[in-house]
Amino acid sequence: MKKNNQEQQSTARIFISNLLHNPSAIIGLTIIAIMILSAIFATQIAGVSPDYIDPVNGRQGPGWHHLMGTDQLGRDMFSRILSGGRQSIYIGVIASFLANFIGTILGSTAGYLGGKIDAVVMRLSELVMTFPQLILVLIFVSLLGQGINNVIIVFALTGWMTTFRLVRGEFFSLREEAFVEADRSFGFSKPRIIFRHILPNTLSPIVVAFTINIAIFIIAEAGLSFLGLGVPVTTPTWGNLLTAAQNPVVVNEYWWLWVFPALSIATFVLGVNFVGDGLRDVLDPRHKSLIAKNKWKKMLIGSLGRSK
Amino acid sequence: MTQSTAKDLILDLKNVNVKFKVEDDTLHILRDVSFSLPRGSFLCVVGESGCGKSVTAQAIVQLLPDNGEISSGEIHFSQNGQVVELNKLEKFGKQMRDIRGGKIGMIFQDTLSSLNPAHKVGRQVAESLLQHLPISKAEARTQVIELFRKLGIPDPERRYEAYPHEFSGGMRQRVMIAIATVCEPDLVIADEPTTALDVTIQAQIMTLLKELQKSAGKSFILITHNMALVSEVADHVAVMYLGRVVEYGTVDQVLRDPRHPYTKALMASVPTLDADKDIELQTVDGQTPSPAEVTIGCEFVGRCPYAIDVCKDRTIEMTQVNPGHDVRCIRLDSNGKLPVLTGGAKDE
Amino acid sequence: MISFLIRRISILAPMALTISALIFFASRLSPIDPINAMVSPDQAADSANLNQLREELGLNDHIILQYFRWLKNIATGEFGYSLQSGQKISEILALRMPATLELVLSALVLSTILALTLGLFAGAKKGGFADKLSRVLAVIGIAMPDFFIGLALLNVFAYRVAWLPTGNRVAPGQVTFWDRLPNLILPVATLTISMLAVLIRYTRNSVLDTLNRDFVKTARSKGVPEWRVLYSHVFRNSLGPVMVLLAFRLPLLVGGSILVESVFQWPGIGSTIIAAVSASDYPVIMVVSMLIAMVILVASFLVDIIKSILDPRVRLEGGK
Repeated sequence: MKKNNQEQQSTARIFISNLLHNPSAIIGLTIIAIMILSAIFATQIAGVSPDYIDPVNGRQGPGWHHLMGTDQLGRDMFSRILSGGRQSIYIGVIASFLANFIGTILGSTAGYLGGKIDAVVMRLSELVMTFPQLILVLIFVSLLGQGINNVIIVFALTGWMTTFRLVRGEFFSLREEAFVEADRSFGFSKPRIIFRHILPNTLSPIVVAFTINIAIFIIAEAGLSFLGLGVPVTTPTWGNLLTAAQNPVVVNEYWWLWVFPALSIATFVLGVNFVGDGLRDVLDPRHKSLIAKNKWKKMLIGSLGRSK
Repeated sequence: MTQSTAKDLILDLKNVNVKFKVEDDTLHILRDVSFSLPRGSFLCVVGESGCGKSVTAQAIVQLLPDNGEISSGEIHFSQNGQVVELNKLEKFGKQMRDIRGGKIGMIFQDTLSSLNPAHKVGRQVAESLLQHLPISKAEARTQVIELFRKLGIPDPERRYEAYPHEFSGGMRQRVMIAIATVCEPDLVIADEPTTALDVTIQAQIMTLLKELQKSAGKSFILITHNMALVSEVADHVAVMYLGRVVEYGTVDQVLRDPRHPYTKALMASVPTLDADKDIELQTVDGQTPSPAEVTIGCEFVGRCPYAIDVCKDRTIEMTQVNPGHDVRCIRLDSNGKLPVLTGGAKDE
Repeated sequence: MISFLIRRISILAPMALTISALIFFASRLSPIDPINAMVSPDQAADSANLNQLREELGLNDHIILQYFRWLKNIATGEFGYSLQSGQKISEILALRMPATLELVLSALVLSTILALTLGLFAGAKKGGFADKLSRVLAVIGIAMPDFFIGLALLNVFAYRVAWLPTGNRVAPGQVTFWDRLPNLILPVATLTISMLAVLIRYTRNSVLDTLNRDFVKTARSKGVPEWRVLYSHVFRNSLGPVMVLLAFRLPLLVGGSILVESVFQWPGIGSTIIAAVSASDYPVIMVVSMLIAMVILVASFLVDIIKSILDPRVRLEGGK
């Protein structure tokens, strides 16, 4: 057991150092870090509260005093965007965590047990996956109502499928491995085998899925709030700052009201994707090189002639 | 260098080197490969898996995968009385493509994956015909059906319209042979065509191939690691190890009087000449090193019972031990024979 | 082949029933009195006859019976009434669906054609124009959801350059399809770009995979020119995954363009759904869900047909 911990520690260190050397991850992490920090210290950075109303200076374009302009009530857009980031990122992260949680539990159970349970859950996931995401989200919103927490729950309920499939896939391949047989012969209970033995080996796709889902949910929140059906406008999120863009006049005349929120979302999402790519490279270097190596290997072996 | 008699050569390889780029490494897969093929003769290229025999075949017709290239050497092909340097031709240019299928036919090992699963079999054979000859589709169809009949595919009209997965392994291989020979090329290269087949089918296919070769006077290269086959069909043999030709000669010379330590070991590990099992070098210690590891010296040094220090230090050239029989080993004495081993101990 | 298809259908039927049951019973959990969904507001207002109506409509019957009656109604197109507007849902659908279909169908067809051609070239010529384009599109696709693209296009082309109208399907005075065509351009372009991003990546990957397969080497060994290898051998065998993806996108025909419709004020089903959700108009939500679920099942069936057409092996073996 002690040895295990030691090994795990050095693996963790190796992993972190690898990650920090991966160009994709570096770019992504920088972007995300900057944005998260500025979201947390929004008011300090912007110098003015996002709720400070100043109608006199309303509807001004970007300038020295207001880096990103003001809205119709004279509120500083820069400040609003920074604090909007707080909510959006919060929603994205928590929802992703929840969705991953659900997906992992379902995936590991279905993947390990197989049979009818697996068939049923698979069918369910297929069905849910094929529903256009927004429609599904809307249906749930109509049942549960709006608000940050409800939005998070809805996203988790509609977004667990990718993680589920990934984990299930891994479990299918892993459960045939020798160490599982050994565990079974030791008489370990099923939950113990599933969660303490097999699951740790499936961490890499889960982590990657986690990052990707953050991006997906932030965009989903944007769409939902843009329609006015997500987080109520009282709490600014990147998404509901975009509601302003429902008005064509705004779209055309007061472009700063929506372009900056949109850009923020796009940047953050890109950053998350970079991190995800980097993670994928590092966590499963066998994944990327395995795929590449397998490709070359196949070509090479194919050229050299098959071995028996 | 290979010294061949001044015969009519259809194919002549001189110091061909092939390199593969894998990840950040460059693997030197073929090292100074040289051999020649007299017109109308049957050459077998033998060696273990991974020795580069398939790569040689691919290099000849420039069908190496994207990450491979012929880094140096010459491949001379005699066509209509003229000699063409194949490696100098543009890979997908008209000249090379006319030769592929038209003058040089290829038979591949894995028939199921080598045939397009979505196309009917007849169409795949006819494709080669239509590519090289100005005939109509109907005319091509007739010819292909006739060829199927000749190759022993029963009910050829119906089989023309069948899909690859509807055939058995042996039948599929006949289809591949049809594809390779339908344009009556001067040279056919077969890459382990029977390795995946049952023994009885193997025999059938090999007989078929040998007949085709003899009756049409075509030149043939067979790549295999089955020594029993070699003894039955070959006129000449080239033995390869780790990307290099280590011995070359007529089938009598190489099989009955092997001079290279590796060839000797190969022959010794064949229980009888009628062996129908694949050969594992059980009598030789060690494993084939990877192509990335060996650079200077004889590749066989790690497993050779005759090896001495010098073998590791320099590039070994081919020496002629008899007319037409070349061996790459420095341990041969003036008569071209290896020293006698004393109890398997290495010399100083 | 027929038996294969029959087997597939026999799996889909119970699924359809299960889904419909789920939807029905879920809706009965809501606090709304179901009678409002089944009769027009005028009739419902007439409270004197309400009990009689309930009796007639079978609302006092066993719930299972009601479920089957509802099922029969749905199957015959009797969708009930919207709680919000009191309109017959079937009328609303008939009014709005064409707009959405027009939009999504055009985008699907366009993006498919573009993706297949560009994807083929992207896979075949590394570093070529198609390859670079697919990379750019991939980035756009990740970071920009469809309504971003819509807003951007709207701002640039409709406002700044004023080449194209700002929305609405039919402006006053436009009668024929050709009249309204300019209105269609921006929304379709938006949706097409958005769909293209994913499709082109799929196609490109599929092509790359196929290029590695042995039969491509065989084709080349026959001396077949590269263009023919691509067109005759590679393309056909790369189609599979792309077609499957497309089939699973069919549900978009019903509910896929909500955001784009909102940006361009396109009077399609999207706006109906939004209104229904904000007002908790369950009858409408139910019907739309049913519709989408049915489309999904049909799509899944189509996928099986496609697979069997593209791969002769499936046809004969009769299964996956």
